Amino acid sequence: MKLLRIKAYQLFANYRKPMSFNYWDTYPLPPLSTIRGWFHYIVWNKNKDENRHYIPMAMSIQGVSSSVIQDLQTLIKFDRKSNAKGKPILEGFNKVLSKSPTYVANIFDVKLNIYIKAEEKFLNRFIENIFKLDYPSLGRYEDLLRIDELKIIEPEIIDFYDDEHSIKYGIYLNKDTAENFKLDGIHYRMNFKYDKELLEKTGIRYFEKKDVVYVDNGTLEEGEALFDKEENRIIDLIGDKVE
Amino acid sequence: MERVYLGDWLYNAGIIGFLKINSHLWDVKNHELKSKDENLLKIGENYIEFDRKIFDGFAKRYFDYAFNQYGRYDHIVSLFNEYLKDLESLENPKEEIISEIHTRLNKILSGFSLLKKKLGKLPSKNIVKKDLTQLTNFLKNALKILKEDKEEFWETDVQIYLRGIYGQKSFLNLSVNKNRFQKFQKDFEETLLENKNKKDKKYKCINCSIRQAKKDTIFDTGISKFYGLNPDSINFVWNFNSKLPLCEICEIIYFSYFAGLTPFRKDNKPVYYFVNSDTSIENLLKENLILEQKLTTDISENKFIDFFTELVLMSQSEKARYFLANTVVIELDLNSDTMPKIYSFNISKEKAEYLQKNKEDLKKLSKTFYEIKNERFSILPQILEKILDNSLSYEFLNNLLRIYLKKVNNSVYYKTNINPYQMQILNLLIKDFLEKIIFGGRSMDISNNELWFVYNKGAQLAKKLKDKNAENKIQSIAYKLLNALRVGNTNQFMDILIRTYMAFEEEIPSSFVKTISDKNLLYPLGYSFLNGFLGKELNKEGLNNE
Repeated sequence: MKLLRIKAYQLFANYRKPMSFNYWDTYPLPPLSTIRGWFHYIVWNKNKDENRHYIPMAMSIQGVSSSVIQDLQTLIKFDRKSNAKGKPILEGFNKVLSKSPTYVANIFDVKLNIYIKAEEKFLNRFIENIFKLDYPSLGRYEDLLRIDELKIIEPEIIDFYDDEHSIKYGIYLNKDTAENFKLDGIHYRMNFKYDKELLEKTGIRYFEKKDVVYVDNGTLEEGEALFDKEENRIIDLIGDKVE
Repeated sequence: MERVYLGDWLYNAGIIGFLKINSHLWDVKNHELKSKDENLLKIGENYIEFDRKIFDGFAKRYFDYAFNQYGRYDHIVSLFNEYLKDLESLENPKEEIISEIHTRLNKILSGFSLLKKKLGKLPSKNIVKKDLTQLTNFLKNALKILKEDKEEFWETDVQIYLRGIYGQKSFLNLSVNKNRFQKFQKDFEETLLENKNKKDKKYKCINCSIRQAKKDTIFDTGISKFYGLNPDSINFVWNFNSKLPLCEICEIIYFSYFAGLTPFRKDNKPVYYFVNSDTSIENLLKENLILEQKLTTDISENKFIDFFTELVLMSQSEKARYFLANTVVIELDLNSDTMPKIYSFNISKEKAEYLQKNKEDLKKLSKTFYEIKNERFSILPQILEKILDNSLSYEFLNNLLRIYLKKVNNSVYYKTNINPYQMQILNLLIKDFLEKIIFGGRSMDISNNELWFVYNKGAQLAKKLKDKNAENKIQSIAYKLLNALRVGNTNQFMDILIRTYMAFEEEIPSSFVKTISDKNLLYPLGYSFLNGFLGKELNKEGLNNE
């Protein structure tokens, strides 16, 4: 099995939780939908003439960060025109731009390890395209991403019976995986991909959700998992079934 | 069964509120959250699941919760009783007292229009000064009306209270001024219980993506005035579409969030607190119950430090380090449009690890305090505060030892219940803190065993002094050692140590040789010796390693 391994770094990041307004909360690592969207954006970005379509994919998102900072930031928001006094007006939208102080949870010093499984030609195209963008970012546009490695790897399945593995990095696991390895962590019901038909019908993105468990410490003593020997990490793919 | 999952913080507050409104269905026993009837309410890791039968009697419980949380009615009844007692207990109350009560009464009534309407005009100040019975009768009448018409007050107070929190939804609409309870019962209890809300044909719920949306229901200012989502702020939502459909279940959860908040008077203004984290339903509820308890019983300056201290010590094992770093307390001032304030436990991964690792030792210090001139300080929250702002150092230990020595000398001003054994634990905690956090992982090259060994050496020397009837020397030697440690003077410290050991014909522990090559080691070693020297307990672990 071939996977794309991405090693990357962000100084600051906010992986906003859906429906969080007025206090922008964050997941500890980029959620599934963010990585899925990012992958699609980069794969299709320079090939706009092609018949673009959904690429079935699965991923393993891992990383460590130094801390979470609750930062007070000024956000620009579109306000109603009646509050226009002395503020710039946005013609096309018939709105006023106003400033709104908001607490934003910022994750600081994030080292990411992301594994993506998809049809190999798309993995190659991702590698080819990523530096053709203005700049790579992940999450918010302003959260720059330094790409440290892009490599196609072939991981093996490892049995932990003889040699246990201790997790010292944050990772999203499938709920079943966490249960099998008896690992406890934070349970999230996380957006993965949206229903295109429903979007066309309603103008709203309704997401298929996945039950994942965020784990950042623990030991794998029994059972099997995909393993990246070079990086000494397990890989637990979450997403579509990709052959 | 309907299932709802943890989500954004307001929704989480809604889940906690929903649980609190239905508090007859669960219990916290032995630190575990348990459902009393799993057919009605099931509590999962990150979700709750309930049968629609849960809505039977929901309106009454909802109103009762809001009425009690507002608390105005009970407060006023007890105030009026106090006024009456004051006026009746004094034979000839002074004019100032009558005038003061009159002024306060006037102020209360101006903010309580229903009561004012029922009572009629308050007699003027001049009249009541001449005829006190006018005032006492007025108060008696007020209490009678409050008692007789309690149900009506119950209904209006809930409306007044929740109007300040939510927008104009259901019975909170400005045009609704009677049968509010009935309206809520009809709009929510009945329709939810019997599942007869009209569903939207086209839209599903934006929040859960499972249930069909309720007809004509969107997530907007009706649910929360301050949440920052309204039809204007379209740039905060995907594709500028701010009309987000909601289902009836998510709506009632959001509509319960007031009960998830803990009210508190800060600078004489009402504010509300909510603890948000997403480890599990059980933790989220327990954390909020702890904060509630801290806010109602503890009015110390650093209530959040107290709260976070408790959080760190919570007897469950931490599921993820991220939990400690990302637990926030949200403060809401609902009477103004200002944004929520966030108080957090801003800690690094290293600090989270440090706290997790040393939890048991920190627990041993949890009931310690010291007093200076009758002002009491809890030691553990102070340690936590110092850990948070990177100022935990040997200076703190030095001060504690000084207070301890003063206590031993029967000082009037200084008291403490911390003992030398606990101070030795603190010594090790400080050493670990310096190594892991301040020195960025650089080890001091001295093991805890070695420090306990030196502690025992100190204890043995103290015993020797006692055996030779020189117990009275212990304190003066301790003071001298303490002074040397305060300024970090290795020579002075060693000088005292050598002289003491020589006087009693003993050999100095060889570990102290290390202090000559590395001055940083003077502190952990020196304090270990001193703690043992002052202590009564021997440490067996250290003795075994001799």
